[in-house]
Amino acid sequence: MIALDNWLIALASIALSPFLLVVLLIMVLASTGCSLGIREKYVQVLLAIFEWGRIRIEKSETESGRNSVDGDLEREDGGEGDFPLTPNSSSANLLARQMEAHSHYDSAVDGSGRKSIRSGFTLSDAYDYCKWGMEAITEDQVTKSFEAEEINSWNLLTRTNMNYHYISVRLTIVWCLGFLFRYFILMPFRLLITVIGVLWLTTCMAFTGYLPNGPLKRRVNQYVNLMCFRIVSRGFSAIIRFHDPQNKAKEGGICVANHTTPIDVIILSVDNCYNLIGQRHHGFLGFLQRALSRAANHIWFERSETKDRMAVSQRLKDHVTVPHNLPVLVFPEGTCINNTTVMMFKKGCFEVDCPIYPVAIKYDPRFGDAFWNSSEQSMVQYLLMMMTSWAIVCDVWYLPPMRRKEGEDAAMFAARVKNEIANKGGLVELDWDGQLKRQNVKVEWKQIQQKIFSERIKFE
Amino acid sequence: MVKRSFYATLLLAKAMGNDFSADLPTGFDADQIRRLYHRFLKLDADGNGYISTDEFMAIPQVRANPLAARIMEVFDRDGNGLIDFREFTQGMTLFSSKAITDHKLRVVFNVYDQDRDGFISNADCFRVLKMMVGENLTDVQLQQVVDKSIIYHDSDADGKLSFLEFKNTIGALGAQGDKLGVKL
Repeated sequence: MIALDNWLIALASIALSPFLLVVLLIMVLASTGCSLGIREKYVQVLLAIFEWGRIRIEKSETESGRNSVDGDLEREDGGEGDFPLTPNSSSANLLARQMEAHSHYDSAVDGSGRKSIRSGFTLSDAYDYCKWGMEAITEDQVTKSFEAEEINSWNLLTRTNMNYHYISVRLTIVWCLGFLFRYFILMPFRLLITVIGVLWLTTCMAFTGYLPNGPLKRRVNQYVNLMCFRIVSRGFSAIIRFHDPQNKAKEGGICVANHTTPIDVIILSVDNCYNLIGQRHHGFLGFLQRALSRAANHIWFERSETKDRMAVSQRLKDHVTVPHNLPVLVFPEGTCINNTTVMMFKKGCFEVDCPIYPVAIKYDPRFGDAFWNSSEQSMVQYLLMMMTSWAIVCDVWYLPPMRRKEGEDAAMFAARVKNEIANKGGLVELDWDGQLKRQNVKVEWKQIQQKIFSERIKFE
Repeated sequence: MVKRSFYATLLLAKAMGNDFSADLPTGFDADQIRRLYHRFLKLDADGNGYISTDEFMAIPQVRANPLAARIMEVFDRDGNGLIDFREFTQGMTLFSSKAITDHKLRVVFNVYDQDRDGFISNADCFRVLKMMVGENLTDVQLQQVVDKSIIYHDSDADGKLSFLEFKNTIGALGAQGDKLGVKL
């Protein structure tokens, strides 16, 4: 019996040791910030497979005579007077489109020789409103921003599937292999790395917390931060490209970024250290928050306090004026958006008098959808989805610091920063409030429409 | 999510079984109907198979549209305050880019013709114009605009506008009408 036990133990250690060695290797690499380039190769292999898959799909579709699937109810590039609805349209603002529409209509009327002599109103004015209404019913930008982004070709994940895997046997086989690979090889690895990473994070932070306040503690905190977050980021195969590192946020500033997922924090913390600000959560997130708070002064709020904007602003102001405090990471949209658009920036953090370091984050949707749809997925479901995606590939652009100009109020400054981030990240700007996810639009929007229309038809 | 799409397919099969695609003025293929149905499901937040006024107004861009209530009523052919999938598709079809201009103009006409008597009366026009203008013009000014518009286009001088007279107001728009519209 004892011999059998020995055999089993020996067998287990032989089988597991390469596994554990790999994990150890990943941790060591992560801590030092080096990379063997394996993940980049992996990405290239994946891209080649997706390309092959796409060609197969197109081939089978032309064979069966169907038109290639556009993927949604969006309109294609109209050209003859259609207003493009795709997320890449530059004038996504409702009011801007109305201006366009009016000028288009006016030119149509004048072109035919009919002049509107008596008044600016003709019965066909209702046509424009009907059209916008119909467009919004077909597809509206706000709802679209809170759904997962649709991609042009299939990336071999069931979640983005639209009956593609019934197309050919080979594609189904590749999909099956991919499924097995993701769920039974990638996921256990990632889970293990994440668990180890989180435990290591907690331990290190606790240790750092015991050091006396001073330059040593700050240096240790910085190193520990980077190391631990790098390990955790390997937990979902994050491949991040940082651009313009000379614009990284410095002490005493506020770093502002577009928000897609809670993982944004980890992505940004891989390269730079921040103090975080946010609501106090329960459960797993709460545990993490407490762990982080031991080593550095993050700003956590009770739910009731967030309603009091002045209190939030005040704490932020107090924080940035203390010397040697790390830059604060703020997500002014206030909620997760699906990474195709940038919604209204809340002006709270822009009232503080300090340099703002804007950062644009753009995820590559082909490898995994990073967007957390909090109304449809719980945190655990979301993490599971992340760990069974191919990878999280993203680009991070550090933009040059901005300050509020003379005579510019906080709202205008916020809009200016939003514009910079949207341009850099290739995202569409919307003026809608991210809280529309949970609330209804205010009455003022309709009244603005009415006012503009009235201006047009007033003729006295 | 998987459960819902299976259920949705069942309902869709049922809907298709009624072969209502036959009485749609412009043909939709199965793919487009499927997409329309997904959109319908998205809008039908409580999942009871109908879009109520609240669910309709939940779309921010619709809520900001002054004529939203009228558009809803035009969709709702049987006037029960709810839009079912058949009404939804019929409404969308009339405004699709494949529909002829007459269909689109018919939709706009119906938006004006609130009492559904086939004519745009003075009162009909006033009500709709009031929605578009809000509080920015007085009723007197508004009445003047309405009177002038009706008189100018009322060729048979019966005090109201028929569909033909309404079509004549469009003029230049009609030439472009075939190209304008919402593509599915």
